[in-house]
Amino acid sequence: MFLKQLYKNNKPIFILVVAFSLIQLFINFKRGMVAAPFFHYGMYSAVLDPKPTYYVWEIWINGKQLKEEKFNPWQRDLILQPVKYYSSINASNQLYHTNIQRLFNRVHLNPNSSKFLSNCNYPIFEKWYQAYLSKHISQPINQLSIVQREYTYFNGRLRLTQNIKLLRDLCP
Amino acid sequence: MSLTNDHKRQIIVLFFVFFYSLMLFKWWNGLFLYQVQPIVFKNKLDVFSWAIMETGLHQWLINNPTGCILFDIIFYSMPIWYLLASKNSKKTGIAAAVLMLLVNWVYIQCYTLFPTNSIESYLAWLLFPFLFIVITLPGFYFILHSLRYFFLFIFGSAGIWKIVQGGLFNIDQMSGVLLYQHKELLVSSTRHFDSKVFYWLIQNPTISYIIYLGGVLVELFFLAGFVTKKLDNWILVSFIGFLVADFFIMHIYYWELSPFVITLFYSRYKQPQMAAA
Repeated sequence: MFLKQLYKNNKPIFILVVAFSLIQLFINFKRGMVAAPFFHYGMYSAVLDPKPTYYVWEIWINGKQLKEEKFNPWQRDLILQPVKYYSSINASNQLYHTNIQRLFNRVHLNPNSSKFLSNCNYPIFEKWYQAYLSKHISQPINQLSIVQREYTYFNGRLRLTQNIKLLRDLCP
Repeated sequence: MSLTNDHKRQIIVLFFVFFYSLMLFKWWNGLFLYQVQPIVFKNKLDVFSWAIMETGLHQWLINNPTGCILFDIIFYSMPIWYLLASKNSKKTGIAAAVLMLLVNWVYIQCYTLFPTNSIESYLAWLLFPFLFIVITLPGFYFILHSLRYFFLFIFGSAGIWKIVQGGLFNIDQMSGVLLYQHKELLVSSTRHFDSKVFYWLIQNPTISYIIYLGGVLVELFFLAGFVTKKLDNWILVSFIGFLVADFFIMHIYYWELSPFVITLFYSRYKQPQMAAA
């Protein structure tokens, strides 16, 4: 057995491996919190049924919708991830208040909130994103609109609704 | 046959081949930090990321192209420094390996605070430097095998989670997963081949569930590695199959985990004796 062999031959590495395994098991049982490189690898493990409603990001450039098919998966991430991150600034700040600050305080530490909190500033984000996106898609952008649109899932298809939110309204 | 110093050299070279191949891939696809040009970050429930954030390093990188370039240079040059230092003496080699561990950890924590991809895919970069810290050949053997077990655990536990959390018992699971994963593609590119295939799978939950089940079985197959090393070649092939399928079906790319195949490939060699150190 590997651990027995390790114990017999190299006690420092044995201690390291056992400690590593215990932390990993603790993280697995605790759920929620992680500490790199200790994660739980439960992606798409929980029951995930098709939902009646989906919120989908759409990027409109010079009056035309940006089509994902033109890009490979990592290019799509590069295009969409900044939008998702920007739209979740409030949720990220909320995570600081509800979890991070509380856990710091539990061990009698005072985190520096300015290092964890961000502010919405849509004009600055839009200016940056316009230049960033233009470089990635190799196309000049005169007009940019980023919206989150509601779709309903019905009869095996996603169907457009009239409900639409502008990114600028979600994080002004 | 026992693991020899020649194998050790091969493993180190192979790791760096993976590292620099993936570096080229990242640079070509605009995934270096200086190419990502971060201006927004997101808090994570990762205790170690908070330590980095307390230093303010992530904020220093925002809107700081020079800082990002510097970060990229330091991170991607670490293997070269390690190779040069380890040729000089064992002590400088260890010092360079420890430095590589710290640099990798800081870089990856910062990189994944920004809109890039998830930190889980960078586990090889976070853990392989441990392999270079040990001097003795038996120590190298034990770390190599510990990495192997950890790799088996990543996939094995992913399979177990799907049983524990119930995804495996839900016939509509893969339809829900595909809708969630590809919704942007499905609405923006309805006529694209991928969209047609995904819609077909979504509308045929039994077939898509079989794909999900296949994925879970592959993940659970990794657990066999805890019992025997004889199946390591098959686990290696399953891993490559899983990576490719994940890319085509889920559009998820975990190429950075690929250096772990080294641990499977070299697992056949037995423990070297202390005298061989």
